[in-house]
Amino acid sequence: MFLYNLTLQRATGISFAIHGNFSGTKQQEIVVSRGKILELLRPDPNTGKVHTLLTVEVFGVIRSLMAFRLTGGTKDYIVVGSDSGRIVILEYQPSKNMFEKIHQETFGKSGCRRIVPGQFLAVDPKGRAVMISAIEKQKLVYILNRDAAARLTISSPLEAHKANTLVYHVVGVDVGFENPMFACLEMDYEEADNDPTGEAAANTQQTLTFYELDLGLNHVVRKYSEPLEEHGNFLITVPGGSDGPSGVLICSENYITYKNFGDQPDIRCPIPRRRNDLDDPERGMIFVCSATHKTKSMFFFLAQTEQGDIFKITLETDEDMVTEIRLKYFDTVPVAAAMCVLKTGFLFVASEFGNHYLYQIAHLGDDDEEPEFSSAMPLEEGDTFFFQPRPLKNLVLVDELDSLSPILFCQIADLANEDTPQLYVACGRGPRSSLRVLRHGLEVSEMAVSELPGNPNAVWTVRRHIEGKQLFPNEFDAYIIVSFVNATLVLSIGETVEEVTDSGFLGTTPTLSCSLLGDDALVQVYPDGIRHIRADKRVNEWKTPGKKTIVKCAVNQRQVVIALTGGELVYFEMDPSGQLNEYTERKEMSADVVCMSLANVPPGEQRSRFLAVGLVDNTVRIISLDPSDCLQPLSMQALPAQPESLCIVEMGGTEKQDELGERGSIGFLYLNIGLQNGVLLRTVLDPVTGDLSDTRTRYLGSRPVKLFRVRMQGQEAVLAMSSRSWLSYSYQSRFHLTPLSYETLEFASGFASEQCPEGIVAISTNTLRILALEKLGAVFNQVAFPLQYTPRKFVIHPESNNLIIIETDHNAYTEATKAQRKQQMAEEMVEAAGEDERELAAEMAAAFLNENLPESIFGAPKAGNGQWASVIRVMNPIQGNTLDLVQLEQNEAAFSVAVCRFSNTGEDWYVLVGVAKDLILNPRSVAGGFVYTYKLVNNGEKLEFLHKTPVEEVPAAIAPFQGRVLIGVGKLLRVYDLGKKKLLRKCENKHIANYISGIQTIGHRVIVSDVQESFIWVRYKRNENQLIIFADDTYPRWVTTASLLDYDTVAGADKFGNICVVRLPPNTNDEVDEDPTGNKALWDRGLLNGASQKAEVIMNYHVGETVLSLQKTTLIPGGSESLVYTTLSGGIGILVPFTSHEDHDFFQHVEMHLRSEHPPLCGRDHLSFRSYYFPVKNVIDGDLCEQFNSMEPNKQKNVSEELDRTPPEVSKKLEDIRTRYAF
Amino acid sequence: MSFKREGDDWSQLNVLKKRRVGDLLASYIPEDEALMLRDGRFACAICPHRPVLDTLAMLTAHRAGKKHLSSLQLFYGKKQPGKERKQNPRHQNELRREETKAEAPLLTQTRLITQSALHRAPHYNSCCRRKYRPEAPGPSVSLSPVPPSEVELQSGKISREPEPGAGPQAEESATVSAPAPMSPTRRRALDHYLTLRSSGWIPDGRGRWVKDENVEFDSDEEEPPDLPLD
Repeated sequence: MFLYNLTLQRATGISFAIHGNFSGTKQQEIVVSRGKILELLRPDPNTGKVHTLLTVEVFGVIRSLMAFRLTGGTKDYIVVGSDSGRIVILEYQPSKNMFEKIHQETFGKSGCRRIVPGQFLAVDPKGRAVMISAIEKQKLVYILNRDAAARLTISSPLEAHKANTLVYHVVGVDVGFENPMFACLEMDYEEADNDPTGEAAANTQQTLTFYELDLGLNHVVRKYSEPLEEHGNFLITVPGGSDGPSGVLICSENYITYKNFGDQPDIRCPIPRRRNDLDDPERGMIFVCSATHKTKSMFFFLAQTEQGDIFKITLETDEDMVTEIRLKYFDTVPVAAAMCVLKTGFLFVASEFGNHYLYQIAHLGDDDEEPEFSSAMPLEEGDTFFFQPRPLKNLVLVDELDSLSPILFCQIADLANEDTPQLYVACGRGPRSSLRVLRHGLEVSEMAVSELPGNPNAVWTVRRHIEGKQLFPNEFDAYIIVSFVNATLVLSIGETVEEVTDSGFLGTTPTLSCSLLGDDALVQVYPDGIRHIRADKRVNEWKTPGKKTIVKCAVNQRQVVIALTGGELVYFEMDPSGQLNEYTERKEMSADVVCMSLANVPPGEQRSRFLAVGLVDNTVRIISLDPSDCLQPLSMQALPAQPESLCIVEMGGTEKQDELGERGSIGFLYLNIGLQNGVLLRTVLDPVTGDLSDTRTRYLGSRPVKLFRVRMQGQEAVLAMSSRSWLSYSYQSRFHLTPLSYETLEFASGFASEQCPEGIVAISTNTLRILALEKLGAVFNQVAFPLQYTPRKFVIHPESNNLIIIETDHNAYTEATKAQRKQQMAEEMVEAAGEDERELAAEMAAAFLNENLPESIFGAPKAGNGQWASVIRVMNPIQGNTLDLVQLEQNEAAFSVAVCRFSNTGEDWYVLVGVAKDLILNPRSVAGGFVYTYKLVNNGEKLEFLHKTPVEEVPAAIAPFQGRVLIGVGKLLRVYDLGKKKLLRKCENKHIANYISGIQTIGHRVIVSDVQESFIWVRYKRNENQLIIFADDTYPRWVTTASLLDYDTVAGADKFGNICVVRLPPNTNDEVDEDPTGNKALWDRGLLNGASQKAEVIMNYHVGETVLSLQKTTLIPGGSESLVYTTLSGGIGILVPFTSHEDHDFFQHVEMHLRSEHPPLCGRDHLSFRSYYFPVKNVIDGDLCEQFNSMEPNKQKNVSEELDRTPPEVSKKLEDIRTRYAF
Repeated sequence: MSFKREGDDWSQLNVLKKRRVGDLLASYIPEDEALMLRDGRFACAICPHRPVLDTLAMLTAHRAGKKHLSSLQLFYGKKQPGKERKQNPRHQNELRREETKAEAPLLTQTRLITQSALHRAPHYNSCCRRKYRPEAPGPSVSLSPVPPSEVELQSGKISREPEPGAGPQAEESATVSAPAPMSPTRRRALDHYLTLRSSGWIPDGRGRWVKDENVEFDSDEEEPPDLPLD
């Protein structure tokens, strides 16, 4: 078995985010890391939308990320610290839209190790040096400079090692142009390590250490170190030199402290806390991330606490001496992994878990009633300030980026009866969790829907000329023209859309096509002629000769081609005076014309050179429009069915600006052919000879395919309409053909207005719709239904298709406890008040009880270690409504769920939920567990409590088995049957190694996954009522999830991010017996407790993200089966089998060549990354193979020559294998 | 690192060689004459006291022993009273092979060759293979011209193997009905027996059922449920 790995959706959680001018222009961009993915985002300051410019998988773990700018430079570089044992400096090349590796310096072994640098990065704010540090001991400083050609240079590393020292955070201190300085939170553990009494360990203090890079001596010295009173968790650099007082802010538990060299005394300010918080008051409060904003005149910091409250921190100075720290509550947003304040006034909040947000900073919070806390205010030690959290006041939400991270569970099924299965994904964490339903398709936002007097058959938009702008016509459309059976309606686009009559268009006839001609004229083609409307409203008409009418036409900015009845082509071209002239000859085609298309006129040229004509005889012909051989046929392609529509577009190019400043994209010409049988063909049109080559085919739907040219992200794209509408576009150098998640459309045209710069106007029955497609590049569109706690697992009731979800949170209160605590606090408030304040206190208490801040934004109260809250929810997955909700008691944590029938009770369905009682995670202890049994009543909509069965350990896995259930209770595997008062234990096996994390069954076989020891195959012997282990695996895998592939084969994933497939060898005997002599002694257990028969490893693969669900399924109707996995960081991927040896051979070679020709960006070796824990076996990495498309053309050519193919053939193969299984 | 043997201790090598030969020959032990235990050891299923032996070699040695041979006679005498004494499955197989050989030796040979030519890789079958028991009337074994080993495998698949995905119920009923024709009453009785056994009742040998002390029962469950009448 050989498998091919494909990512359907990349990870969405963000671990780091930095901002800067990476493309070297004024625009600010954001670079984010998503574990093993580097992505460049550009927030559009006009629309407030965040666009993804580039996504690159680096095949390594990105551990730190920094923006770096040389002194006096205008472009930011990206410094990446990874697990490659190398420091990598990247530069973004906007012309090629790629990251270029400009430096890669090796300093250590690969892998995430304690003493190999990569975990922390710090740059000198003046852009002279960068420090890369390990968690322990090693720190290296590289001096960066520029050479004579202004290229970035890097020095050899300077060591700043200190043994026995742990590092918590490193920043570059802003010291102006003095020697670069780095501040480091460190802890020296040498003494603690050598003191057996433990006294030293208790007294060891964290230190703040300054390292100075002496540029004169080319040497790093440990300049100064001082012990800290509180344990700090991170540092913030304070602007220095001419911009501020320099120094650092140390964020620690409950306090923020300012420190600097010299006579500067420490300034310390407590972190304010929420008033009347349900949290444990003893719990410390820390800042988790910060952002700095600096202008020429001022600076401030935004720091976020672990509850999500952002504080604006300012420093009061007196002649470069800081006298006071001021904190002011700013707003509350979801807890972030990184925040970026952009110069354009936006705040980007990137989270590890949950959606990412872009806010506009509407106010700086300078002049409002919000109290300001200051370090100068006298407070007792241990006392702090209080504030009242409130909804957003200073920030305005402008964009939200969906993130599935973390995906905890996923099931793929067609519960909505849509013939394509949907993905039901349980994701999110705590109060921000949700159940999301993913469907393949592009999300469509409906901007406007308006009803029309009749059923129109076509719609176009045209632009209007604006005086003074000769080169570019106005970028927005002026008219929408709607054609009916016998009339044409012209609507003008302004503040509102209204009908106009003075446009010059002929309203009493249907329209075949219309367009802007030249810079300022319009053309309307209707069955009896052509109407040319000049800018000054003069109208020129061309009438068809005799009884002929126009059947088809093609129009662009300078050319008009019409086909008359009988297959005669007439060609018009606009001359420099703006006159439309007919070409001297006409062309008689051999058959009737069914469709035509003209490409857009390339920028700087007079005409498009090709006309594509589709004929009744199932052919498409390319006809030259060049003056030298005008109307001569160039090439022809036979089609499998009659063509319906044609569209020539230029795609796949990058946006470029030529010497004259004219913008345009240089791509390839593609002829798209929509056939009557619902198939779309895309062929490459040679720009010189007009030859057609490299045809790709895709079935779109049951209706004939109509094609429309639209613009998407500044490039041409094709909207193809069949029974479903599809968009074919090029995005990040890959072609995408994605269905729109929208109802059937009949006709469409591009649409641009101020509110919607890249929209579509479309017709559906008698309505006109304006649509926008904003999430280009997304594979799935999602519908989210909120949940209360982190969803752990769900099962599908097969009769009603309802989902039964268990949600469990650690460190949380149940609703009942929360209400109880609130009540208690309110009572305390009243009691604490004096006699005369009673009334006021009662009022306040009532207000407190009524106050209800949404937990999804403000977070749920933290209850402390060992506190659990759980619910069991029955949900309709289509409507998303909760049908039944069972709240478990405080400290009961649901861990497993199953829906099953029992053979002794007939047709009733039961839901079993495994619950742990008083579980403490570390050090682990548990007071026992229960299995709650519910009967599903009301057609699977209600849970009726039946009984609760106490068990000794955590019941972490339940599976139906032969009319009874198998339950994994800690390390015990048991068969239970339904009894009257509880579940009855019928059989037990005690030989599983640690803890049963999952159970799969097939026939008499039971495959148990252990939390550390991979899979154990157990056979149930009915006539002896015994569960006997007959085989196991040879590797210690920490299995998270498993899926059966066939009777002998099981696929599993582990918590380190590996996927494996293991299979029992064909001669495995599952009829093994317990020792018949009955003396179950020590020597009966076999070697190392293992079974005598061992499974074989079929494949091993390191995904790089913890996989939490695996399922064998087909994703597209008529497609083949694939193994779908979802990862904790929100990624979705598939593993597909190769069907032929040739394919496998081909992709193996592609992978091999790409490994050498296109090595991963952050310096990690691809093969060693995929073999992180187990050597990769029998899997070819499609993600690497697909990077072929983003290689430079000459390298593409080299690689494909090695494979005896051409680059288009290789990319066709890559596309084919993807579309065969997925999208 | 290499797994190549170093040194020239021929005796050790010979021991290994002998063990290997022993292992290879061990496949000649009919499957129902030995039990494989979950720790990889073997129990002799012929001898009434079920001796447990650590390795195949020891089992082979045991099988050559006097005690075993006498038990073997007893065993087959009991098992197939009507038939010839020495008719163990291996013997039968050989007999059958001779028969087919007699039919058209060249044809059989060619067929074998073509079959093995088509199966380049070892034949993979995801289904559980059930042991072939000689007393079970295998359907049309001797009639088929295909070599007997092949027939066993396929007929086994058809007659006794349910689809692996068919669910526990199907699997269960199929296994129960394995030994082909059986009267419905007998089948029901057998089914009932299995149900009782799997729910924790143990026959006490005197026709009565007692509760297994390691198994839980409902508090009002004193007697095992009766055989369903329909």
